[in-house]
Amino acid sequence: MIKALPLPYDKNELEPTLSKNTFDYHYDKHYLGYANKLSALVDGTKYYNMLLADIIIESYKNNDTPIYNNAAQVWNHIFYWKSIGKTQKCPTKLIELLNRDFGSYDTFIEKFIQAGVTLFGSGWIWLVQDKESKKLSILQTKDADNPLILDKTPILTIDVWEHAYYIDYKNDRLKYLDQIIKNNIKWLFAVSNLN
Amino acid sequence: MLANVLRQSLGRNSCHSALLITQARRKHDLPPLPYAYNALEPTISAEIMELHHSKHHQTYVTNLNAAEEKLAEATSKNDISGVITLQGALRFNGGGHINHSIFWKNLSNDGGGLPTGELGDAINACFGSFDNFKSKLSAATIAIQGSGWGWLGYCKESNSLKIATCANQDPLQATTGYVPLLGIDVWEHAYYLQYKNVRPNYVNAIFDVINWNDVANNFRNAKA
Repeated sequence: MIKALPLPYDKNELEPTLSKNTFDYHYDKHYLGYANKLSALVDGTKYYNMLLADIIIESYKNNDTPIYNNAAQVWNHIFYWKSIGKTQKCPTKLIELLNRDFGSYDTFIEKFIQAGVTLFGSGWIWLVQDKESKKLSILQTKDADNPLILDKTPILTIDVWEHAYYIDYKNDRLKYLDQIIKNNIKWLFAVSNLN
Repeated sequence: MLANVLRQSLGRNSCHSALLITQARRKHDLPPLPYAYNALEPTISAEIMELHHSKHHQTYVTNLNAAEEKLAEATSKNDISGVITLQGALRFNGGGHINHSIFWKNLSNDGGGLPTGELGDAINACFGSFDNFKSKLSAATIAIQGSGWGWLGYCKESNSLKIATCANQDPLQATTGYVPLLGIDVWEHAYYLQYKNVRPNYVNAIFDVINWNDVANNFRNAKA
C-alpha cells in the first residue's frame, strides 16, 4: 500500500532558492504522479504489502521495470524533500567526517556541486556512506537509480532532473546547485542517516 | 575588434587568412534556426525555442569543440587513456549537436498535415497507416525514462522505416545504425516551461509542426 508522504513544510519554505511554483509541480504533479502510478501497478501483486525500499530492491532484481522506476522515484523524492529546507549549520560531527573523507567541508561542497553539473541527462546526486568502511563519498545516479541498489547508505540527495530546477533556473543547473547546496541542505537530516 | 585592427593594418585578404588561422580549430558552429523563435507558436513557445537553441544547443557546440581540442591533443601525445576518457563528452556533446541540428529542420511553422509521395507510401507500407505510425512513435517517445529522443529512422539493411528511442543525446545512427529522419526531443527542457509534466500533450502537439518535406528529404538522402 503506497501512501504519499505530505511535504514536510510549506511550499514556499525554500524561497528564494526554489519557488512555491516549483513545488506546485514537483510535488503535486511529479511526485504524486509517481506515487499514484506505483499504487496502481502494485495492486494485486506480491509487491502490494512490501515496504517501499524492499519494492525497489525486489523489482530491480526481477527487472520489473515500471514498478522499479516508479518505486525508486517515490523513494528518491521523499529523500529529497527531507534533504532540503531552511539554512542549517552543519554539525561538528559531520564537518569532521567531511574533512576526513573530502579534505575539507568546502571541498565537499564544490565536489557535490560539480557532481550535479557533470551528470549528463536526468538523475540524482548523493552523499553516501559505505556500510563497512563508513567512508563518505559522492555518487551520481541516472534516472531513477539510487544507492539502495548499490548497497550504500544514502545520507543526502539533490534532484538534477530538469523538472527540479527549470522553472526557477531554466538551463542554469550550476546556479541551482550552487544555491541549494550552499544554502539549503538539512545537515541534521544527514547526520540522522549516518551509520 | 580584432577583425577591425587586422583589416586596418593588413588589408582585407590578409585579415581573412589571419582570422582563418585563429579559427582553424573551431570546427562546429550553432546552425541558425530556419525560422523566428516564435514561429512555432502556439505549439512550442518562443521562450522554449530561444532557450533550447541559444542556450542548450549552443552549450553542446561549445563543449563539443572543447572536447575535440582535447582529443586532438591527447591523440598527438599518444595518450590512449586520455582519448578514452573523452569518449563520454564526445558522445554527449557530439550527439547533442547532431540531434538538435536535425530537429530544428524537422520543424516548421508551415508544418503538420500528412507525409505524401515516397515517404507517405513507405510509412503506410511499414506501419499500416499514418495513424498507426503516429501512435507507435508517440507511445515509444512518451515512455522514455528520463531524458532522450524518439526517432523515425531508416534501416538500410532491410530498406524499411523503423521507430527507435535513444537515451540522453545518444545519436541514432551511431547507436542503432538507422539513419535519422525525424526526431522528437523529450528532454524536459524541450517542453517543460509550456507543458510542465504533461509530456503526452507536447508529443501529441508537435505533429502540428512537423516539416514533412524535410523528413522526406532526409529519407531520399538516406536511400541514395
